[in-house]
Order: sequence, then structure tokens, then C-alpha cells
Amino acid sequence: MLRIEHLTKSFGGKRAVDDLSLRIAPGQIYGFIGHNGAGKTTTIKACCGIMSFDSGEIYLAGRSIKSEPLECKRVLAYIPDNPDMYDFMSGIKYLNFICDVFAVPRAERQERIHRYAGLFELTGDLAEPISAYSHGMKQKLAIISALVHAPKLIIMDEPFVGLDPVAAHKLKGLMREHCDAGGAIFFSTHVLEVAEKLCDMVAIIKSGRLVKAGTMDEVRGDDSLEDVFLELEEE
Amino acid sequence: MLRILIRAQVQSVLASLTRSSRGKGLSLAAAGLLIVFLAAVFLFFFGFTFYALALALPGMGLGWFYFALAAAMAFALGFIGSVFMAQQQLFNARDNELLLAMPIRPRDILGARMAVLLLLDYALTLVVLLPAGAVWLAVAGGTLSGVIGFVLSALLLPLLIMCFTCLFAWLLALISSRMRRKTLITLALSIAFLAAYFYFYMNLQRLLTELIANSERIAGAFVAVYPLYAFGRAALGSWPHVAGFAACCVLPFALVCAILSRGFLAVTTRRGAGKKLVYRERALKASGAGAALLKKELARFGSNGMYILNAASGTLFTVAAVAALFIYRVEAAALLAALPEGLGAGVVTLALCFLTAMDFISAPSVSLEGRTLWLLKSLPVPTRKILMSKVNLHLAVALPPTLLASVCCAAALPFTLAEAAAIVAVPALTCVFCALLGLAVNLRYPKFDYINETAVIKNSMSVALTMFGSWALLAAAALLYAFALRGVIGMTAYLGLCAAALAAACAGLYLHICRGGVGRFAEL
Repeated sequence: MLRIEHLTKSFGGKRAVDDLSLRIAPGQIYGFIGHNGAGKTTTIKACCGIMSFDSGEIYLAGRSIKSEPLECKRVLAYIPDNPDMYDFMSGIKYLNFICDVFAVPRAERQERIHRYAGLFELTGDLAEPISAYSHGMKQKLAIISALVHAPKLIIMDEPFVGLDPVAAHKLKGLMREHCDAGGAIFFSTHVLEVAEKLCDMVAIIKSGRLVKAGTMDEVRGDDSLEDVFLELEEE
Repeated sequence: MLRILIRAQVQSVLASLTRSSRGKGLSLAAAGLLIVFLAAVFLFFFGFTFYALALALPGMGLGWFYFALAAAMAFALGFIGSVFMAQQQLFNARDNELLLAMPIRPRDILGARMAVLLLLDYALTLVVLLPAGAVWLAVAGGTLSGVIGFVLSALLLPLLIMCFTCLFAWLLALISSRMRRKTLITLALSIAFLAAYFYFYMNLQRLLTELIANSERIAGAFVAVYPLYAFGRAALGSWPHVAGFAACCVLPFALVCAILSRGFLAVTTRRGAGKKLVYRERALKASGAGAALLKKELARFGSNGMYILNAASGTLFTVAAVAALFIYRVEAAALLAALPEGLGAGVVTLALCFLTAMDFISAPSVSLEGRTLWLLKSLPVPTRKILMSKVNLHLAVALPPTLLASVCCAAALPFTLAEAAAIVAVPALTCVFCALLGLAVNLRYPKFDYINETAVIKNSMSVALTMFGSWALLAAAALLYAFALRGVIGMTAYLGLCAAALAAACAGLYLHICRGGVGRFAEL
């Protein structure tokens, strides 16, 4: 579903991502772990076609994000670490805008908005302007907007930040459901317990370089993910 | 702490004038030149007004009234010029919460913001009082005590203006924090201010004549407004009135500072307005990506009163011009008939072009994406379509009134068919040109590090370059004909050439946006 090959991106003279390669298959929840400034967000933004990169290639569902960005974006949903959306729109207008852009048929958008807004208990607030939303409500709206166009791949940057425990639990359920239906999820997190319980695969990035990747069992061995992560950080 | 905050505020204002987010910006000298140009225009305007007054009033023994009028004008300009900025800076700044979370006293935050506003009030006051003082000295002469009294009073006046500015801004913030239709309030108030200003400006000559004719009666009324009377007397060297005026300025200013510092936290942290809107599910309307993007742009435009008033002022004036044309149709026709043959079409076209060039809706449109830029970049829509939605917003707002005004002018005034076609085509093409130019300039000089959107709409470099750039081009086209081509080519033919040049420039800008602009957008 997502193939990153030798991705390299520099800012000024500093390499933010250095020769990074990853493969994410359909049905997988892939966790992406690293300290602050390790290169997670840069990698994620490059995968979403938001940020250009110096060398390497990224393929989504077999298509290059460089040469076919629109086709890639059609099967992709991105949830950023800070859900800044159009404050001047109401929640429902924003969701309808996303559905228009992704050409979601009317009946389906109606049904999906009803389902996901209901699930995250946001239905009653959809008429309110986004400027009136709390951080958690904005995060929920960003998640709903990612799900309404039924993407194959969802890329999330710290998706659990700002969510209440109930919403976080529901999101985990949805992530599993999405992957069981043949989709894939690539997300970054600092909450190692969540990654450990939720992910099928995990990658650890340090100073822009991939230091460990594989199935959860391969990466952690007999230790906890936290122990492995801390050990790698100290090296 | 206060000093650090003031420095940060001043840096922010200077940066908004001279810098874009990507480091490339207007030089300080260029920004200074721009300010000097605007100040010169105002100085000339007020100089003319005060010259007429200085010739009449001293002879009637109403010298104090001259200065009282100057103070009233400075007060009006200072108040109108800073009240909306005060509301944005004091109560709606994006970094209010950030600063309030720091170990800084709210009154220091307020103090720093007020200090910058006070500087603005000083600048605006100077624009009125400098010509007033200079004209008085040149026409009526002056004494040393009079000059000192005038300078002291001039230094004190901005404090009084600040009192009213801050209280009104506080009231606006309080009302708008409780109301949903904030844009409507801002629009209504601003249009009322503008209407009053233009009424005054259009009737200046008549008002001045009436003022001079009835000066004794009006001066009598001014005596009742003690601060104005005191200012007038102080400027003639009356020390008791200097002290009286100082008390009128300093005491209310201190009181306002005390009141605001008590209410600052409450107003800035107020959340929610009125009754909560509850969503009731209903059938959603679907549209294509292009229409959705345009609707989004329109929603942003409609949600911000400052955006509408500043960036679409040409549209507002065009609508007013159409109304004026119907009222003064006979006078306008007579005026055109008095012009040398063929020149009428050029004058009308130029006026319509200037009006449409006052619109710069697309010029801050990329900057206004700010923190939501990621969203546009992540959409499966060609960048060209995203960028054109910004041009389309400009055209959707500005082109219909421009066309309407052109058609009305062409129909209501006596023009030939060829002249009428030029009157319709050239302003319409100018409108398209301004839309494309604004976008191209904003892509080159975007600004994302603003504290509030007003800074981008009013002070950013892309806006200044687009507006003054298009005005300069129009002026150059007019001067070229007036001084070089008038004897060589007829007006209708020249307008046809202008239309062709504009069409070519539009095509060039469109291609530039579709190629370089798309790449530039990806880099942002």
C-alpha cells in the first residue's frame, strides 16, 4: 500500500530524513516512533505529497507520489499533528467541502457523516463554527473528515493527542476495522503503550535514519517496546 | 517586562510592513517611502483646508476656533484610523492566550499594545496638526508661548484620542464576543464611518464656506466642548488652558488604563457567543471540486469584515459610483461634453479602472491560508485549480459591479459604439489583471507569521505591491497618452491598444501562475 524507498530530505545542510525505506502492506497498522525532531513528521508529510523531498521514491498503491500526486492523494487521508482547519466554516460545511473535493456521492457522504459524527458524539456540534471547537473536537472532526472519503491508506501524525479516553478507544477500534477491511494505517506516536498494543508493524527512526523496523515481536523481542526504544536512543 | 513587550510589538508592526514569511520583503526604505507618500497626500489635503480657515478666522478674533477645529479633525482621523486596529490588537490578537499564560501581568500586555496604538495616534495626529501649525505660522504668525502651548497640547491630544479609541474598541470586542454576526457589525460600522468621511470630503468646499460664514455661532457651540476650547486657547499661548487641556487628557487616560486593565482578562478570555447552534441532519448539497474551492474562498471572504472592507473597497465605491451616475447623470454628461472630443471615453474608462484596481482580494489570499495550508496541499486537486479558485473569488466579487458600472456608463452617457465597447472591455480586463497580479505577487511574497489576519490584509507587502503597482500602471498608461500619444492616435484606438495589452498581460500572468506559481505553491 505504501512503499518508501531511500527517502532523503534535507533542510539547509541538515538531513532531516536520511535514506529511509519502509513497506506497508494492506491490512497493517504501522507505528512510527522516534524522539522529537527525529524526522517523523517530515517523512509523513513527504508521503502525503505536502512536502517535496531530495531523493528516493514514495509509492502509494503502486503510484509515485512524485509523478502522480493527485492519484495518490485520492486514496489517501492525512491527519496532521495539529488539526488546523477552516475556522470560518461550520463542522458540517467543512465535511461537505471535503466530500465535494473527494467526489463522495451524496448518499454515501450523508451516511458516513451520520455514522462517524455519531460515533464521536459530534453530531450536535456540526452546525457550530470550527473556531468554537475545542482541540479535542477539532481532532475528532479531522478524523471524521479523513474517514468520510473512505481512503485506502490513512496517515496520521500523533492522532491520539487531545482525544478523550472514550474517543481514543473508538479511534483504535476504527483503525483496526479499517485495516481488517483491507486498508492500511501509518501513524506516528509518542505513546509507546498504544503502539505496542495496536500496531502490527513498527519502525523506529533516530536522527532521520531508520534504526529498527519489523513486526512488533521482531522489534521488541523479549523486552517491552519502551525498553527497546530507550536502548536505541542511548546508543 | 513592559519594555520587552513594546519592543516585540514594534518589531511585529515593522515586520508586517517590510517582511514576508519567506524572508524576501520590502526594504525599510521602500516602506518608509510609501508612508511618506501617504503622509504627503494627507498633508496637502489638510494644508489646503487650513489655509482657507487661516485666512478667515484670525481676522474675526477666532484664532482659538482655528486650533479647536484642527484638534477636532485630528481627533476624528486618529479615532477612525485606529479604532479597528485597537480592537484587533488589544482584544483579538492571536497571541493573547500565549502571553497571558506567561508570568506577565495582563496590564503589561495591555500597556505594550496601547503604546503601539499611541504611536499610531501620534502619527495620525501629526498629519493634521503639522499643516495646521505650519499654515498658521505662515499666514497669521505666532508667539513663542503660542508655539510652546500648541506643541504641548499636540503631544497631549493623542492621550485623549486613545481614551475614546480604547473604550470603543473594548465595547466592540464586548459586543462581538456576545454576537454571532460579527462581520455584519464591523461592516455596518465601517461603512458608516466611510460614508461620513466621504460626505465630509465631497462637501469640503461647501462646509468650509458655511463654517467661515457661521464661525461665530459654531465657535459658540465649540466653547461648550471644553477640551476643544482649551486646545484652541492653549495653542494661542494661554497657560491656564494648557493646564486645563492637560487635565482633560491625562486624567481620562489614566482612568481608561485602569478600567481596561481590570477588564482585559475578562474580555480576551471570553468564549462562546449566545445560544449554541444545534445541527439537525438534512440533505447535503454536492458540488464539484472547483465549485467547492470557490465556496470555501467565498466563506472566508464573507467571514471577515476587514477583508471585505479593505480588499473590496473598489467594489463598494463602484456600486456607489453607479448610484451617483443615476443621480447626477445630466451633470456628468455636461462635464464630459466640456472635455476635448474623444477624451470623455478615456476619462470614464480610467476612472472605472482605478476603482476596480482598488480591489485586491486575491493579493492576501495565499497568506490567509496560514496554518491551514497543509489542507489545500493534501487535497487531490490540481494546484492550478486551487490557485484559480483565489482568482475566481476576486472575479466573483469585483467583476460583476465593474461590468455593471461600465455598462451603465456606456448606456447613460453619450458615447459611440466603439467607445462603449472600450469602456466595458478595458475595466473588465483590468479587473482580471488585478486578480491575477495579486495572486502572482502573493505567491512570491507570502506571509504566514501574522498575529491576526488584519495584518495580512492591511499591511502585507503583496497587498501594497498589487494595489500601488496596478495604480502606477494605470497612471503610466494615462500619462503616456496625455504627453506622448495624444496627437498620434485617437482615444478609441488607444483604448483598444490598452485592452490588447491588458489581455496579453493577463495571458502572461495566467501562464506564469500555471507554471512558476504552481511550483512556488509547492515550496511554501
